[in-house]
Amino acid sequence: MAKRKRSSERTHNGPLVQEKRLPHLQLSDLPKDILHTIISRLPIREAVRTSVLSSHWKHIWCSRTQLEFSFRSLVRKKGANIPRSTISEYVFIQRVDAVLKQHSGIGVEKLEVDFSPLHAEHSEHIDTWVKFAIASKIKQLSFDFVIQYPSTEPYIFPFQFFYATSGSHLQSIKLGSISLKQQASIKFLVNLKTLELVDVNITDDELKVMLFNCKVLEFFGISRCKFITSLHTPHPLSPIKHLQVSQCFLLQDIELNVGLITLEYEGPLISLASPSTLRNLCIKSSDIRSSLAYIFTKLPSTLPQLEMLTLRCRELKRATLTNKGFKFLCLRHLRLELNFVSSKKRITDVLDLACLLEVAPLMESLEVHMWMNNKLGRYHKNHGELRSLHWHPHAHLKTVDVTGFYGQKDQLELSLHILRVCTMVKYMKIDPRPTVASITLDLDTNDGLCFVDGYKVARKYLLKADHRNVVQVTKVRLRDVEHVWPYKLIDPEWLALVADDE
Amino acid sequence: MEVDKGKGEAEETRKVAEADRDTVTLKSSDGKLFEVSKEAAARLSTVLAGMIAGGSIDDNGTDLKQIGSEALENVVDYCNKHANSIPSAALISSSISFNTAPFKEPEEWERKFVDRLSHDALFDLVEAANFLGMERLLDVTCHKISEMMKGKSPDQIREVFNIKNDYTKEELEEIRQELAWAFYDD
Repeated sequence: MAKRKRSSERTHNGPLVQEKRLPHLQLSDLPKDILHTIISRLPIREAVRTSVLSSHWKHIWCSRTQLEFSFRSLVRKKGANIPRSTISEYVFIQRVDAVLKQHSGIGVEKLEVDFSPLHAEHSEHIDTWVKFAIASKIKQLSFDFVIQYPSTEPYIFPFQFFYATSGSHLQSIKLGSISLKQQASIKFLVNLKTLELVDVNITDDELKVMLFNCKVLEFFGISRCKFITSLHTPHPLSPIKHLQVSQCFLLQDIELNVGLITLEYEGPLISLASPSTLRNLCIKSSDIRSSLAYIFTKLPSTLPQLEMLTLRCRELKRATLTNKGFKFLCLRHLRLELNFVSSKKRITDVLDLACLLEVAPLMESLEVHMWMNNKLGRYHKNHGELRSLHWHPHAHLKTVDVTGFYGQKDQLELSLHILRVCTMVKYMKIDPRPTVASITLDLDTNDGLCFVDGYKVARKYLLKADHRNVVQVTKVRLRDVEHVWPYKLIDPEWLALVADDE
Repeated sequence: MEVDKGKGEAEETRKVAEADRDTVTLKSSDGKLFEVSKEAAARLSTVLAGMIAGGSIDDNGTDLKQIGSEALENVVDYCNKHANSIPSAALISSSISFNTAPFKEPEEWERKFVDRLSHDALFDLVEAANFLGMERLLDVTCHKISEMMKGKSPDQIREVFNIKNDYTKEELEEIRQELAWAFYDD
């Protein structure tokens, strides 16, 4: 290292042993496909603007590999707050048409149109986009619309455009608020690996036909499909590995294929006839009133292979846990997103979570994301002595990630317990701020103060007990939160989510 | 981690490498030798993986004639750092999420890694990564360049990247007219 530096210094000070040095590489000298990659990462407008840089750049943007059109990328102007509703669909359509007209069509991998107001009336244009997609042999197609008025008819997806040769390039389709007819023609998409349906009027039987005709499908996502009552993966050996179901409110039963590895489910809790091959499970449900009870009573006996478990629910009920000796012997990663906020007096106890260490003896990573009641104060000696549980060592846990740590007594007790019994922990992160978005909860200025409380308590008690130097606490001081909207203090992604809802 | 030594020392390195064989030695266009974790090289570079699998790795230093020592040092540094970094919890948990983002965000250390590079070094590294088929490193470096372009006017981009405007005034106006919507809030 030192030597290299010296030799390059030499070149600055004059050519001592100078080799013939080529004039240095410039951005424009990079291979074109690399410039395409770079341009593909710019917002589409900025990418288009690079056409004026120089003649070399004139058509670089036309080989953008990702074509993503949305209100945000095409229409919204900085500063000028044009509400979505006043923008005519035709302005949007014109701009998409303009880009596609210029675009070479070569090397496009993805075409995504995410603009709610499009529907059957715009079929003529949307059809040409599908034709563009077919002609450019794109791999991913996503049309995400939303039916705004009940009187409008959704766009009908032109499955008839696809036949044996034209359908073979497409690997992924997402359709939102689009009508499906002739869905059996999906069989021409012989390489379709990913299918996502959102708010599509499809019946159980039609869905069955569709899935049956997707012979190599690996991912299937379905959400807000209101006619679906039962979901059966077509045959026991279907290649579907990842299933995502959300907010299909009439859905009563799901029967899954044997090879399924990942299941994500969001909605009212129904019986999930899960195959024992399942390795990753993610459940978001407002029906589960205690994730602890759910984990203990429902899961370990039926899902022995589970490696990763994510639960998002409200922890409103304290469960009497009777573990019948089942353990998750494969579970490596547990992620809990728990809402402890109830309108009545809180009867739950965060320290109860400690028993998870015993049910998952080989767990390596634990995430506990909490939303706490901001009216309950941080731990103070008046609250009584800190409880400590019996010492039952856990030798595998390596990383712990705790967020929403408001410094309440039971939160502190749990963290201290983990620190004490998990002897192999390398990294324990404590963040007083909730960093995982909760759609059902609002933060107010009190929460900001709780962040400070959490920081203080963590510093006072946890850092003191941290003999192995593994704890890292996110610092939040009073001056950081005073007069600041608490959302400003959290993850920007969450902020974006809140902003989108408005 | 890198070996950047005279010939005698390189000889010694070769013996060590032979003994445990978890590294390979690479030689830059200007003849400098660098040692890199074999596992990381095979995982991160399709070209090196092919050479390792095909047995065309030279213990005296595999010749990479197209890559200068500065760029190769960065490549090797990147591989070795990658070999030592544990994927963050965020990365693990995001693996379950369904949206297959076209680009994976660089990790913190990768960001820092490219942030410290000069323009010249960055472009050289892009070329080297491209030559070696290092998809991830290409991603990270291209991400950096696009970050440098983002939010800048065409004039600013020309200045930063030393691009000469060879259009006539009329040609420029024509392009702007054609793509007027994109130039709106200029």
